[in-house]
Amino acid sequence: MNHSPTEDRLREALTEAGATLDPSTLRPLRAPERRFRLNHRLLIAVAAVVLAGTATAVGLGGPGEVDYAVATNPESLPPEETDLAIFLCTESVQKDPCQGRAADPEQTRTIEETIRRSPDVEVMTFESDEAAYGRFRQEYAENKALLAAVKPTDILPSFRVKVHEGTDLRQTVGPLHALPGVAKLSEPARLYDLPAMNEKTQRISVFICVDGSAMPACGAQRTSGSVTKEGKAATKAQKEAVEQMIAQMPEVESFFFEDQEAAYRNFLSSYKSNRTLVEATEVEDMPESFRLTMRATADRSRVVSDLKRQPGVAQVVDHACTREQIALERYGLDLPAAEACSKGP
Amino acid sequence: MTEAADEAARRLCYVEVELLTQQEALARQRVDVASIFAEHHIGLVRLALIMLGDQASAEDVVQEAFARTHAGRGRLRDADKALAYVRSAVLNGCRSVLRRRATAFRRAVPYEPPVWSAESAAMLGEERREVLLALRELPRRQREALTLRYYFDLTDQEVADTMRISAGTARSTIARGLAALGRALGEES
Repeated sequence: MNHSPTEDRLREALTEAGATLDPSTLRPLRAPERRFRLNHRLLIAVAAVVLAGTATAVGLGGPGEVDYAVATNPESLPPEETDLAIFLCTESVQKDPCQGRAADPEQTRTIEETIRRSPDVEVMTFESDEAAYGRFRQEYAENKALLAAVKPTDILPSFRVKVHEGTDLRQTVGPLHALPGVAKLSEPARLYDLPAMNEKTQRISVFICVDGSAMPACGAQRTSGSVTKEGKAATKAQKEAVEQMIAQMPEVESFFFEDQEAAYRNFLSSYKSNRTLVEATEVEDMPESFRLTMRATADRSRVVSDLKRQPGVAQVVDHACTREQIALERYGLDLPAAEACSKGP
Repeated sequence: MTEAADEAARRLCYVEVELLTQQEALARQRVDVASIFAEHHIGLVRLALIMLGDQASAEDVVQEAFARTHAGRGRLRDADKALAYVRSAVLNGCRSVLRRRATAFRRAVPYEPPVWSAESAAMLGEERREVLLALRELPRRQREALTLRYYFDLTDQEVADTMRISAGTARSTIARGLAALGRALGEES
């Protein structure tokens, strides 16, 4: 095909214009700092779906004990006023970021100084692991099974912070997240405020497989952190079978199906103030689920395990267990659901 | 650490919630977008340079587009269209810069170099400068479509994906742009 003279001239001019750029003078691309923002968003999204409540931020760690060289306010902040708890690494926290190394005195001092330097901080106190364990035993005095499951070394020492009103916690948390010696962060006060935390109704959500799911129950395969094969959506027949099964369960008082549109509407109404999250979330991000209200005395664990085995079910969430798990987060505990749940009412 | 926090998030809400795992998949795709930026960095800056006429603004635009995508505001589902997606992000950035410049010129505050400033244009031959000046006078869509076609050799469909228009519109825009450019350069088609 013949090129017109205009095409040729244009091509040459553009090539020459492009060539005026000397690649060796290019500034490298800089990745923005976004780690915490993203996690926070994920956490919010998760809490939105499960509890239709608000968010919480946590890190990860495990149990342990540690020696400290910190002198702080001897009186600990009550949990309902603790906006942020910064849990410290102990030797028994095997996972990242601690890897079995307790926060040394210098790391602890750095953490403390970083907190003190923040203009957002109104009050800072320190709670030792012993004190926290004492508080835990008191709160769960009647829950013998849970007390037996949690060892004193499971509870971590923490700096506890109250921030000025109107503070954007994400800003405060940013520099703390990456400090060596920090095992995890938690927001106890906000956990107390979650409306879903005070809900009395016993509810169970049954999530249905959607296309592109990363859940093994939907046929997805994954290694730690990456999905090698995406899962498939539940078929119409599978959904009908699940519905029929639920309808026949004597433990279920009532139930309804929530499609993606409905889930998205609920999500929007809960998060209209969070523009970034709303913009980043689309209808197809939303799960489909059956929402069950259980009879007060029902054996929920049987319902959960029966539904979990049903084809086309991505996962089954017992809200009471989730509440219990979230409550334990105030102590920096992250027990497996089964352990937290078996002790619940 | 990100993975650890994600893991904690999962545990917090009783193992993995469908939404979270989907978001994870998106997060992974974003990483791919980042690598596409790295791989095509020079080409993307050249695209912006042709649109804007100076390297500093071009680099800023690419950096900004990269940061936006990286921060997760950009959404990407179809990995095959990733390059079209990042080019599109760069074009958008160029449009914003050109709009800002137009406003500044209307206020007679020419604080930014005009498109193909004397300094930048000095590096080009007279003949090339004439073509680029004529290109610059074309409507924005035609200018972009011609650049994508004649600098990057994109097909109609690829131009369409990058400009978020239909392939038919891309084809007719290129044809009209080329005709207009020919007239401006005093050529008979």
